[in-house]
Amino acid sequence: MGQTTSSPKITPQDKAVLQLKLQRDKLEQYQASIQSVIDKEVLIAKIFLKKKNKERALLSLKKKKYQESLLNQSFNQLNSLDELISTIEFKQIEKNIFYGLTQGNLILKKLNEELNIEKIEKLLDETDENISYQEEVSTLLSQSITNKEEEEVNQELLSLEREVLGIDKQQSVNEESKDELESYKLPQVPNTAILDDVSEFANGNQIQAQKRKQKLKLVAN
Amino acid sequence: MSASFNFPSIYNFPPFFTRQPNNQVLNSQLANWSNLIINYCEFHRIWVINNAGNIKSSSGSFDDELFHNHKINRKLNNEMFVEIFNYMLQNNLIEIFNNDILNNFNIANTNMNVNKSKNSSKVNYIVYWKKPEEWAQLILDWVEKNGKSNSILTLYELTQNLSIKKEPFYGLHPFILLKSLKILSSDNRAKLMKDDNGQVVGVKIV
Repeated sequence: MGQTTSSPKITPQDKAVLQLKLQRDKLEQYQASIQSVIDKEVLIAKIFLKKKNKERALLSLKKKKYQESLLNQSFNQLNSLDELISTIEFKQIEKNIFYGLTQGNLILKKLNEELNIEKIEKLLDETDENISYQEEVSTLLSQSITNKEEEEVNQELLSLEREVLGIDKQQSVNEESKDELESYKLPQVPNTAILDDVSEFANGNQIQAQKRKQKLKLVAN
Repeated sequence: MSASFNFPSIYNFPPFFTRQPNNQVLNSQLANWSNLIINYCEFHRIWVINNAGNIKSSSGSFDDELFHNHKINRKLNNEMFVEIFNYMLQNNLIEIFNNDILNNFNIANTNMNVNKSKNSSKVNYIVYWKKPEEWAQLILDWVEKNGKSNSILTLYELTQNLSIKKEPFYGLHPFILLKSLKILSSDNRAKLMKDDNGQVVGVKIV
């Protein structure tokens, strides 16, 4: 028993379970022995019947009956023992589960303590403050840039435009619009447009012609 | 015995039953005998055999067919028994049965027992058709497969209970059972539990 440093530990519950299981084993063995007695009595009864000794046969059967009642009792006892054993084993598992739950709860608590709401609010407030401060700084900075240099920047833009286009703004805009029109012109679109125009013109002509006819009629009348 | 064991052909060879003078031949003869004994014992699930070749079994009585071939009228003499059992002892196929192990927690030095028993006239041998390590592994596998780890098991429950009738270690001899459990115990996989009389009665396998 000296070298049992990290071997499984035996708890008092384990000892109790062992005792119960030993009792159960004994009961099972007892049942086996009763069963053999019963079988034997039946055999004896048969032998006495063959010898026409009814009384002895009856006695044997009575003995057998008694043993059978014992056997039944022992079955009940075995059943309750088995129930007790499994209840204990289940309780042990429940205990382990409870232990696991409490451990988990503890850890969760610790983690929550590290994450307490006041601290988080404080942190978020600080972050907000920092962000607004940063925004203030950047607006200040951008303002200072525009005020001083906006005109310069605008002038630079204008001079660049002149350099690149070589003409003044108005013309360049016209050219751009022409270019745009050309790019939108698809081969068929103008045709249909023209056809429409033509029909419109045609209609217009017809109307004019009708008007002329009417005039002529009026004149004729 | 419902089924009968199929003896190898050498069993019907008369010189097989007499000690061969040539050392090489003798060695192969001994190897054959030890194989035959192991196979025969495994077939009939025999755990104990004594130095006169008598088989002890709870499952029924055995005639002397293993060491006495009635067909060719040959049987082993004492000299051959000694040779064979010594050969098997050397190869750890049998071990001298020592009742102490059932009572005493510590296995006494087996070598001492060998010397002691050589003088006594009657010796019982435990036959290892599986090594204690193999038995230990089988029990461990069963425990793991059935979710019995960490629960208390009685030795009776492990080897006699009807629920394990199909397991190979059903009816395992208490001597072998204890040896295998002690192997598990020394690997820290098991803890033996004793009753009030100091006998090992239960085990907790992890």
